[in-house]
Amino acid sequence: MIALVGSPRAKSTSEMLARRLADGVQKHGWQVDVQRITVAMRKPERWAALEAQVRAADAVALVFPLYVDALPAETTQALERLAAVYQTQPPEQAQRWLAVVNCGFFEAKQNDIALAICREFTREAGVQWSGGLAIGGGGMFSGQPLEHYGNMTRHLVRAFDLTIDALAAETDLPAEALQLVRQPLFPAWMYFLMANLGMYKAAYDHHVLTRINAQPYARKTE
Amino acid sequence: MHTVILYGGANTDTELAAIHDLLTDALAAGGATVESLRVADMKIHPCVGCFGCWLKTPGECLIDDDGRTVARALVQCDLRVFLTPVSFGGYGGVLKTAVDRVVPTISPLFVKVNGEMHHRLRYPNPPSLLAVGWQRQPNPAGADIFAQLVQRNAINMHAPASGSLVLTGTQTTNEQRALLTGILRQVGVAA
Repeated sequence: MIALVGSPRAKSTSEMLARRLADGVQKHGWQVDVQRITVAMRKPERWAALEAQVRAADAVALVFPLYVDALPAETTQALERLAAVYQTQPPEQAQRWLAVVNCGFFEAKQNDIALAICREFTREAGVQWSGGLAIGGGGMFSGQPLEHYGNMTRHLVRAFDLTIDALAAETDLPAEALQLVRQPLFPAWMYFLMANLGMYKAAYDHHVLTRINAQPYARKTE
Repeated sequence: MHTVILYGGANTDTELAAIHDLLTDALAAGGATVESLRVADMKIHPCVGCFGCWLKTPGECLIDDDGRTVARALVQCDLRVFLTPVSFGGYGGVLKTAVDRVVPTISPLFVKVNGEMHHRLRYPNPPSLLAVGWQRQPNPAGADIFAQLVQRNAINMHAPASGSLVLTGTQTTNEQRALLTGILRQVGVAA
């Protein structure tokens, strides 16, 4: 299995989630690798190596943050390249894809369009769609493993364990995993409050509190 | 009405270029001024997710390239038009590189919209949003995802009016022109 990380950040929630999947599948005896898409996209030789790895995989896990309601640009471009390659050079064997998308908004359902795009990619590329995990409230993660957050993420841990079992068994993701992963980490009011307070604190720490809503591009009439 | 077209076609894409011309003609006929930004000809680095545009130089990306030009233009218009090949139901990768760079134009703070969490406006009077997609062969599944994506973008961008349309290579030029005229009316351009 190869896990493709779509976040441009070096240490990201997406990478943490990808490694959680990879570690779990490895315990089932699978050979696994985790690669960052943005690193591969910047150099042709790196992309060629990644493309070969993806084509040879039995399973691909695409893990990314939500960017403007969809996949980040370079993740989109990577899928465009792969779909074009698969038209003439399909994967070496039946290949399963799953996607994991996380967003900073409270509602996991805000990821649904991104998952629909991933599913449509698999249809057009001729590979199998195993399912997608949508995670809301991503702002509370700090790069630590899921287990680090204790009781708050117990349903995420369970959803990932079920996903790992399904990957290892080469089956679709179970409905229980798809539902568990969507459960909120906090009450909505608390997350909303913490998210805004967190932004104010971050702005204060960066000495931009009074400029947090600066308008450098305002029209002169405004 | 000042309109900015964010054109996401490749330089070799003659069919999308023809739609771009139909679109600019229809906008001009409706009295709009048109500014076209061809993303493929611009130097735009992908967003690196650093949040510097919220926490270091609020409202402006740390990357000093044409992404800033795009962000400024999309703030200072009355109508944003995204013109792009449909890629698995989403925007093509060329356009998406530019769209991801609009993050500086919204506030890092949050507000509830229809009970959902979204970012607050950074600027008053946000522009309307129209997205026109292109499919060489009709793909209803992709077109449906595209329409939903534009609806979500319109909520997150607080667009007062929005619309989407997917044109295909099986339509005649006259059919495409009529469809563009209709969707422009929906976003306030009386073509």
